[in-house]
Amino acid sequence: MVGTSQEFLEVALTYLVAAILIVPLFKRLGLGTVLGYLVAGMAIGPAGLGLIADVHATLSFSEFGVVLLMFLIGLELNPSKLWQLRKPIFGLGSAQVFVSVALLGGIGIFAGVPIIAALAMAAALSFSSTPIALQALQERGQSGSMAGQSAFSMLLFQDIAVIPMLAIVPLFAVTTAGDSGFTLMEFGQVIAVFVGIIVGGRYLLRPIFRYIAATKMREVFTAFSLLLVIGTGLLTQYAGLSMALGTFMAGVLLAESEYRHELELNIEPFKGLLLGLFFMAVGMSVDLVLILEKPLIIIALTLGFMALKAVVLYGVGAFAGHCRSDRILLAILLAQGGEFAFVLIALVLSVGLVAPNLAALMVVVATCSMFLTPFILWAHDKILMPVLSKGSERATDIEANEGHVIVAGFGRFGQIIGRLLLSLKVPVTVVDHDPNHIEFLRKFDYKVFYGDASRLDLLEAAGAGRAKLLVLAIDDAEKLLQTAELVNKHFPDLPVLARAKNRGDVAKLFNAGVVGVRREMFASSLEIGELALKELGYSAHQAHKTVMKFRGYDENMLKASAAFRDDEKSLIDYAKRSRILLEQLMDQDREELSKPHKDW
Amino acid sequence: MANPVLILYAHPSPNRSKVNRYLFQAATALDFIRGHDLYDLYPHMHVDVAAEQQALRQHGAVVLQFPLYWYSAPSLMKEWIDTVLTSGFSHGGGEQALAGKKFMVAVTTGGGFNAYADGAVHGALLSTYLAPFEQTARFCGMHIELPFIVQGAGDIAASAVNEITEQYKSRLAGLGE
Repeated sequence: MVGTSQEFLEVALTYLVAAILIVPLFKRLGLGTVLGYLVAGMAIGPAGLGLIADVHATLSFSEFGVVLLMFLIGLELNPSKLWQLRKPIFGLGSAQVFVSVALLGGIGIFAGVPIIAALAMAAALSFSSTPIALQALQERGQSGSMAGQSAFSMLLFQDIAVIPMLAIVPLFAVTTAGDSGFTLMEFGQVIAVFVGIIVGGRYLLRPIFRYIAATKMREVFTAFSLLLVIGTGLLTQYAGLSMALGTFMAGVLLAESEYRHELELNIEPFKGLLLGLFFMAVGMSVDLVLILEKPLIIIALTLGFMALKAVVLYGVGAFAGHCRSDRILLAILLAQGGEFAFVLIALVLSVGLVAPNLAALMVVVATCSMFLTPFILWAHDKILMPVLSKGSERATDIEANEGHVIVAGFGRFGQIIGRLLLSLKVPVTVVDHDPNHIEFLRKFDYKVFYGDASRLDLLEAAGAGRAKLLVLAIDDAEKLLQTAELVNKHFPDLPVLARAKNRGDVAKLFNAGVVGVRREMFASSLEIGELALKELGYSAHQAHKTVMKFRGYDENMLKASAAFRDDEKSLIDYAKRSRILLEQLMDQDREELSKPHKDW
Repeated sequence: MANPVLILYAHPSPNRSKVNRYLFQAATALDFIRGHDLYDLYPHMHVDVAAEQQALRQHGAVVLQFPLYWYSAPSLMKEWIDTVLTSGFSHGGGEQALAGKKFMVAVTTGGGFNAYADGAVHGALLSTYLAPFEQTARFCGMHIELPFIVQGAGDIAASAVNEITEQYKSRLAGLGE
């Protein structure tokens, strides 16, 4: 017993060390965590150091990470939001699956694979990898974007579509099998499980949650959260459905409960670890021997397969009305084969529909495509997007403006400034380096140029030498300061206004020659402060004047403290002294206000 | 009442007011009165001109109510006059929206009655200082009513405020007829 538990710990140690060594490195390099996990898995797997032998066990165990992922996604979607998504789920989802199956199957049949086998393999490969796609969306903060919604809808449809496929395949079994697919009994089971989940989710869970939450024992709540997910998963699997779909439904039902956030917090770390393990398992299962045997065929098949799926996805994206950059993103996000490919191909193989060597080949192709996705995404971000965005509006086009205002950074902050100036017909040249921003803003007829404002050539192209004013509204504080310094050096006559993140930035920006700085949160915080004073019984005007006075003191202090910026001790001393001074000054005002009636 | 009355009330520190705010409170409790507390509506000194002009159109009598500061109204009252009474709306051809309406100043002063006289500390009769407001109204074609005045309002006993309020209400009722 001691031996096995030690063995288990050793295996865990191997995984953890590999992950910790490689994943942060890949994240740093901008290649994304998924690729990091895949490479880590490859390194410790049979193809690499050979530290882990039983890849299959790891893979099937860690697939539970996908189930947790679907549960968490369900928690984000309440039933009404899900209902709103019904069109993309069934429209886009079915279009993607059916067209992909038709094309891939057609090629298979053309290559001489028997019809049923070709269609079954095509179906297996038409699915994408939910964890890879969703992780990539999350990392780039696009889960809620239009492209993200479409991607998610298609993935959800795949989760639904896999059920009948898993049910149909055994019907074509060549080898004798006792199980002949869906019987009426099983159909009844499915209905019963669904009704159970819905009724249980609605009426049973709340009292149980309340009971457990009342014990105030955190680990019991965590245990129950896991029990809920595992239980629902097993129940749906027992009924012949995918675990992921069952837990997704459970998540949706709990999306409106008051325990939602608590559940998210509890499940999230398990999901993260298991998904990491899943990616590592995929990395480990790359069959290097087979790849080395027929490298050309596998490379050609993988690229061809992904290209075909990408074309279908691009078309579906166009049908859904996405802009070009979103279509490209969708095509890359979902072009790979997914974890369902492993499951379906294994099933197809087990019923003897397909030759083992073909099945092995397809598994390798699916794995390779999963492996390639992070690379392609990286290339998309770093190479393709900049080129595409530049292609439509060249930097030289900007030169038309003269005596204009350059607004660098056109997120929520820059947009307000831009809207004000444009409403007054002030010529504005906008520079932003986020291609998604640009594409979105072009729809509203903003003239936006792609580029990094901290680059001298871009500033020159934007007419910094002839502009009246530069407004720096970039989100990245470091880049903003760099730009201010660059402008101060090369365009000393160009006045610069800048947004600052915090007090520290203000001093640095003033030292970089910026003429006006505003802290991004300051004004709105003061406005809430003003409303607070009003609620506390100040008259509206008095609240305004008091806040303006506070603002004046605060800004003066900030300016004065710029002198101490290199001397931390004096800075802290000064900050302390000025806080006392501020309190005294405000005290005087308050006393003045609270004196008995003096006015008429 | 046939004639709704609009009171434009400007007091920058109402919480410390001994008389003026109670006059406004009592007045706005009457159903034929609409009161605009300018410092509450426009604490940042930015007056909604269109809304104010619309309100003026809907009322037959207009009262400017304020404490007298430095021989004039608090600054937002002046801002209101400067921005709302525009050429084409109240004068200078066009709408003449105020023509024929009643106009009254309601003012509280810190100094007493005797302080406002030739040679006294405040140098002239109070009517001298109210003249610019009344002339403004006259220029817009309004009928000027006698002003409502409370003097020495900084030192008035709380018990006296009630009676003053009643007097103010009856003056307003007269405007509303």
